[in-house]
Amino acid sequence: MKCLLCLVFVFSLAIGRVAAQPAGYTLVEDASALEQEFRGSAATVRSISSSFVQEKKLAYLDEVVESKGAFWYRDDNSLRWAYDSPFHYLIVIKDGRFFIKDQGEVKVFDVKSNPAFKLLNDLIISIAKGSVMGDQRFDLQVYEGARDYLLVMQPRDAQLKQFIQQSEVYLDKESLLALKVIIRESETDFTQISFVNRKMNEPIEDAVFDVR
Amino acid sequence: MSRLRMLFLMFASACWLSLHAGPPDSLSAGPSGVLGAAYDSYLYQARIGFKAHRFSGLILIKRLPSDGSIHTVFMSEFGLTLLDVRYRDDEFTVVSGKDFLQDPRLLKVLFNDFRLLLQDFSQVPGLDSQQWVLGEKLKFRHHGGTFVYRFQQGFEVKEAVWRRGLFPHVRMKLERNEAQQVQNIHFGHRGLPLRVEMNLVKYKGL
Repeated sequence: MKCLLCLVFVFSLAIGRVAAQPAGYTLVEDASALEQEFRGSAATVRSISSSFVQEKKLAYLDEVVESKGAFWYRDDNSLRWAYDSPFHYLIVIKDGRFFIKDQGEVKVFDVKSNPAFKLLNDLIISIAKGSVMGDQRFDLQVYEGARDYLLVMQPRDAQLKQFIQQSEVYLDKESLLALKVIIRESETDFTQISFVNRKMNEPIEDAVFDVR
Repeated sequence: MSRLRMLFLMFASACWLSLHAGPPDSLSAGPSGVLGAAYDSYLYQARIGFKAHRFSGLILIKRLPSDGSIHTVFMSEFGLTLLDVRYRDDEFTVVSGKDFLQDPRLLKVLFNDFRLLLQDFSQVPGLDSQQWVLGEKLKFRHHGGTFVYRFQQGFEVKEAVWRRGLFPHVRMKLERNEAQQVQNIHFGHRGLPLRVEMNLVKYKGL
C-alpha cells in the first residue's frame, strides 16, 4: 500500500511552496477564468499519444538518471504508460483495472476497490488531459509566461507533503496540454518529465491498451 | 600442558589461515570491493519479494570521490527517492528516506546486504592483502560476523556470504556481463522470506 502511495505521489504533481515568482512568469491573480478555459479544453480531448523523457536529477550526487518511454490516453479512461529505456516497465489502466507489468510479470488491481489506485488513476488521467486545475487536493498558483502557463501545486494532505515538496506543471498556451512536469522532493532532488511528439485526437486501437 | 599449547597453536594457525585465505596480491592490485574502483555509477532495476508481496524500483549506486563515499539510492521507476544510504569510513548512514523505510530492522537488513556488496576491503582491520591467493576464497571476521567471498576468476567476486554462527544469514550471488561489470545480483536471507534481485540497466565508468 505504501509503495502504491509512492506511485501515486510521483504522479500526483504535488507541490510545496514557491519561494519566489519564477523568472519570466507573472502570477495570475484570478485564475477562475483560466480554469474554465482549461476545463473546456480538457473536455475536447478524445485521445493523446506522446513520447516522454524522464530525468531524475540528484544534484548533490551530480547524477541524472534518464529514462524514456511513451504514453497513450483515450477518453474512455484508458491509459498506457510505458518505460522503454533503459528499463521496461508498463502501467495500463482500462476497464476500471490497473495493470503493472514489470520484467514479464503482470499485476492487476481493481481501481474502484482501492482508494490509492483510484487516486493514481485520477491523477494520471488528469495530467494526460491537462485538467489538473481544479483538483481540490492541491493548493494551486497559476503563472503566465510568454508561451506557457505554469501551475504550481501544493498538496493539502500531510501524507502527500511528506513525499513531495514542490512540483510544477508547464502547460502549452495554445493546446493547454502539459509540456513538462517537474516534481521536486527537495532543493537538490527532482524529477522532470518532458512530453515530445504529441499527437492529439487520433484514433488509438484497443490493442494499445492490451498488456502484452 | 604442552599438548594443550600445541593444540592452541594449531587452532590459532588454522584460524589465521582461514581468515586470510583469498584474493589479491596487494590491495592496490586487488579490488577495493566487489564492484571495483573504476566506476562512477551503476543503475539497477530491482525486484524485492517479501512473503507474497512484490515490489520493484531502481537502485543507483554512485561513487563520490570528493568525500570517498558510495551512495545507494532507492527510487521508484517514476523517480521518487525513497531512501539514500551513504557508505563511508566503513559505516552506513541514512542520508534521507521516507518514514516507512526508516524502520531499524529493515535498515539493518539493508545494511547487511549492501555491506556484502559495497564494503571496502582495505577498511577491514587485519586484512592483509599480501596474503591473498588468486582463485581462493577471502574470509574474514568483521562487524561481529564472518564474511566469505568467492571468486570466479582473478579477483572477481561471484558469491559472498555473511554469517553469524554456523549458518549464512545473507547470501549474495553475482553474474557478470562480458565487460565483467556486475550484471545481476541476488540476495537471499536465511530465516527471512525476503528476496532481492537486481539487474543492471546502466553502467557509467569513470
